[in-house]
Order: sequence, then C-alpha cells, then structure tokens
Amino acid sequence: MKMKLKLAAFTVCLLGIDVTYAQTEVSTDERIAALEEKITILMDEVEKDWFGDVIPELTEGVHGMGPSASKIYSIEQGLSIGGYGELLYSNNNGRDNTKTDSFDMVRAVLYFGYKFNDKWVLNTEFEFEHADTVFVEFAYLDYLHTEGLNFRGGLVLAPIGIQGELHEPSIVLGATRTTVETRIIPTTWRENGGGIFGDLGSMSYKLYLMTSLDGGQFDAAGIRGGRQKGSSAKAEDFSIVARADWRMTPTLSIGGSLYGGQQGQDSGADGDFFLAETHLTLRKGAFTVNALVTATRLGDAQSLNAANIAAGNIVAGEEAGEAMFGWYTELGYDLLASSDIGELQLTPFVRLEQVDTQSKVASGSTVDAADYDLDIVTVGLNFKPIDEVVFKLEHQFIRDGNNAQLDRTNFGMGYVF
Amino acid sequence: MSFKGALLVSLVMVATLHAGKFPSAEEATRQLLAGNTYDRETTLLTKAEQSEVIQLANQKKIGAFVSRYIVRNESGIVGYAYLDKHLVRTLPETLLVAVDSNGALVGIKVLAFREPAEFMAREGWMEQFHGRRVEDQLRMRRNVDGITGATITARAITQCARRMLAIHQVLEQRKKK
Repeated sequence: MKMKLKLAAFTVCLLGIDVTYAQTEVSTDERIAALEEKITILMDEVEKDWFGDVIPELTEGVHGMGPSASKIYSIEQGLSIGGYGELLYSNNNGRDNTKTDSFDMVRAVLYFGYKFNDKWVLNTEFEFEHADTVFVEFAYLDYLHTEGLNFRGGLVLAPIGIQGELHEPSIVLGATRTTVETRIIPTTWRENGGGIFGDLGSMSYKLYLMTSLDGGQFDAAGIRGGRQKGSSAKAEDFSIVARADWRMTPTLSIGGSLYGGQQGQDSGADGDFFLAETHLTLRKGAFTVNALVTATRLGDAQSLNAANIAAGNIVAGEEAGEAMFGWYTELGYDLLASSDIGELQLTPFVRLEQVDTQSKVASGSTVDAADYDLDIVTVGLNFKPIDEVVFKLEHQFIRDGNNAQLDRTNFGMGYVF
Repeated sequence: MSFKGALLVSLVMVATLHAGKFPSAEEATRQLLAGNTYDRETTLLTKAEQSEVIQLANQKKIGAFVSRYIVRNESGIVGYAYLDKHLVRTLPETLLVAVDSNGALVGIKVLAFREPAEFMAREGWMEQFHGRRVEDQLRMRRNVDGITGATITARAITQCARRMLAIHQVLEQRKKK
C-alpha cells in the first residue's frame, strides 16, 4: 500500500511537472519570438547604419520608419581632412664642407577637402614651409562630370613628372625629393589656372592652362625662381600643360607631359619656353622602380638674360641656360615584404641622377656651365614602422662638372595622415 | 566642321561614354556572381568565431556584424558577396567582396568612397585578388602589388579581402557543425 501511495505521489509529481512545463511553454516561445524580433530590428538598424547608402531598399521606410527619418543613414560626410610633413637633417661632408649643416622642418601641410555634392568638390592644401612661411599649396574646385571628362579651376599643381603631384614623404623613397624634380621641374610647381582631366580606359589625362612662370626670375640654376605660386601672379603670359599616363598593367604606369608658352611676363623678352618629360613607375611585389627623363628649351635665352641683367635681377655669370637636361632612375626593395609582422617596411634604395641646367649655354652667357652639371648617386634606407610614418637615412655622392665633391648625408622623417 | 571641332566633339563623346557611378550592393553582386536568386543575410560572429577570424586574417580586431548576399542557382549556392565598410585615411570606403562556393575570391567592387577620388583603387588593380583564398595570407608587397600614390587604400583593400575570406571560412565551418 505504501508502495502504491509512493508511486501515485510520484506520478502526480511527474504530471505536475508536465503541467507546469505545458503552462510555461507558451510564454517561453513568446519570449523567444519577442527576443528574435528585437535582434532582427537591431541587426537591421546596424545594417542600415553601416550599409544604408549602398543598399537603397534598406532606407525605404523599413520597420515603420518613414523615408525622411531613415534619411540620416545616407547622409554623406562632406569634409575630408589630411596632411603630411617632413623634417630633414642635412650634413654637408664633401671635400668642400664649408656649407652649413641644417636641420629643417621642411614642411608641414594640412589638407582640407569638401565634397559639396557628387559633382562639386573643393581641394585645398595649406603649407607651412621651414616652420615660418605659409603658402596655399593648392586650392581648386572640381566639377566631376563623367569619368572621362571633369573640370578643375583654381590654384593647381602643374601635372608634371612623378613628384609634381605625388610628393608626400611616404611616397618619395629618399629623404629629399630628386634633384631633377627640384631644379629642372621645380616641384612643388603650382600656378593659377585650370582645365580638364579624366580617365579614358587605361589612360588618364590632364590638360591645363596656367599662368606662366616669371621669366624675370630665371637664372643659371634653372627656372625654379620663376614660380609665382599663385601669389598676385603676373598674368601677361599663360602656358599650356598636357599630361597623359597609361597603366600598362595595374602596377606599371608610363606617362609624360609637355609644357609650353611664353614666360616673359613683361620682363622685356618673350621667354619662349618648352619642357618635355617622360616617366615610368612600377610597384611590383617588394620592388619600387621610378624613372624620369626631361629636357627643356628657352628659345630666346639671350634676350631674356640681357633683360634680366638690365633689370638687376641677375649679374653676368648667372645667366639662364638655353637648354636643360636631366634624368634619374631609382630602385627600392622592401626586405620585410615576405614577413607577416604588421606593416613594417625596410627598403634599401639606390638612385642614379644627372642634372644639367646649362646643357646648352645661352649665347653671350659668361656662366661657368660645369658648376651646374651634377652627377648624383644616392644610396639609402627607408624605414616605415607603419604606412603613414617614415624614417630615411641616405648618403649622396655629388660631383659637378669641375669634379668638385659636394657629398652630403641626410636624415629625414615624415608623416602623412 | 573643322578638324579641331571634330576632335573636341569626339573627345567629349568618348568621355561621356565612360560615365562611371558606383553600383548598388545588389547590382555589384549580380555583376560578380551569376545566379537565380540573391538573398541578403545578416549574422553575428560569436566571440570564438571572432578570434578565429582575427587569427586567420592577422588583424588586431574585427566586428561581430556580418552582412552578405547568398547567390543561388538551380544546383544550389553559387557564392556569397560580403559587405565591408572600413576607414581609408580619415573617411570610409564600402567594398563588396564576392567569394565562390569553393572559397575563392571572385571579385571586389567599390560601392562607396568618401576620400578624394584620386586615392581610389582601380578595377584593374583589384583583379590581382581573383582566385585568392584564405590560405594565401594576403599581404601588401608579399603577394599583393601596391598602387603608386594610394598605398593606404591598397593596404585597406588587401586587409579587407583577407578579413572577408577569413569570415567566409569561419561561417562555412559553422555550417558543418
């Protein structure tokens, strides 16, 4: 009997459990359903937040939200901020080491871009040079029409050479920009003007009209002094510059540019000037290869020099050359490319360079042309702990036409953001 | 019409032909994976799955949220297209990374790019990712070539591709469990 009672009690217990379970089953299901709905809503919200701009149907009034309330997900951020800077310690240790060594905050640059809408974009760069001089490096408006045809106007960079438009310290292998793209192509070369640009298949082009250089400031070392930098620029003469680059493969690009026009700017001579340049860039695996060759011709160098001497801008012996010629080729190899440790890059590099700003001396000139004919071999090491920070150490073996030894050792550091 | 005029008109015509706009996520998926149905799916990676992705992709941290398209035809799943939004410099880009049913990357499309257009990677450059798998351990300069003047974008895309392949592998393993 006792046994039966126990069994009955056990059965009741079991039934009881069963009953209890049956009672809660509905509410657990409901709770799970409610939870699932919450998670779905949450996931949709996250997705809308992240991808509402690329999945249009997401923002079309999902989950009872009207289109205007969900519009916030497709608002584009218009302001773009960036910048770069570089410091350079330069030790002149050639046979003639009378030149003062220097440690210079070469430049600190702040970039601000603003996208008003998909068509109108503003790009500006403000540069602090040598820590105490401020320039607007560029400030231009783009009207983006199609991939193949866009319009640009303002203070623009001359689209010439490799470093003319791409000169952030993280891109340039050496501690200093190349001498060719400093003396013959006066990087950073910027003038007021504008034009068209775009991509036609694998070719990119730019075609600008810009204020000419000020020929009144040309001298034996080249045209660099003639840059007007958009500052109350003399606009008596304008020049045309055209550039094209072909992407032969995604990593190999070959291009060139032509610049031509009168550079006299009322200095007393026409200053007919023409510059041509062709270049190659390769980024293949651990290899970086850059090469460039350029030549210029100053048609009426003799009369421009005479006018400049008469105006007191130069003295005899400082006359601009009738032609300039230069080339360089550089090779770098990232030793850490095959590792998997962060972004570390350690790139030894070598650059061969010839620069002659008097490759044809102007008639009547008394310049010592050999002083302006440089052969430069640069060997160095480029170290990047991360993509945006770079340290560079290099030695430059420099000989001029008189075989003077003008060697120097440079240490540079740079950043970009 | 003068020669110069004809040249200008033909230049403008060629230029207009190349009008390029970003595709929507679904348009891009359709361009990369041919199938009959395109369904979107969102999922969350568990903590364990996240650390597995971090290890496979050799990245410091990743998010839990995954959004992807599942593409099917008569015989089953053709592949997946993953959405990813990441910072380039100070502003983001959104990419779509398509992976076939064998775990090979079949294409990358840029869906949104907020940085200045000159930093954008071109389609030709992104072709080098085709056929790459999670085992390739993608890394810039080791097995991915850079872009002159757009290193930061190139690295962001390389990391994104590796991350998406890792997420794909982890989600495939989840199916088998």
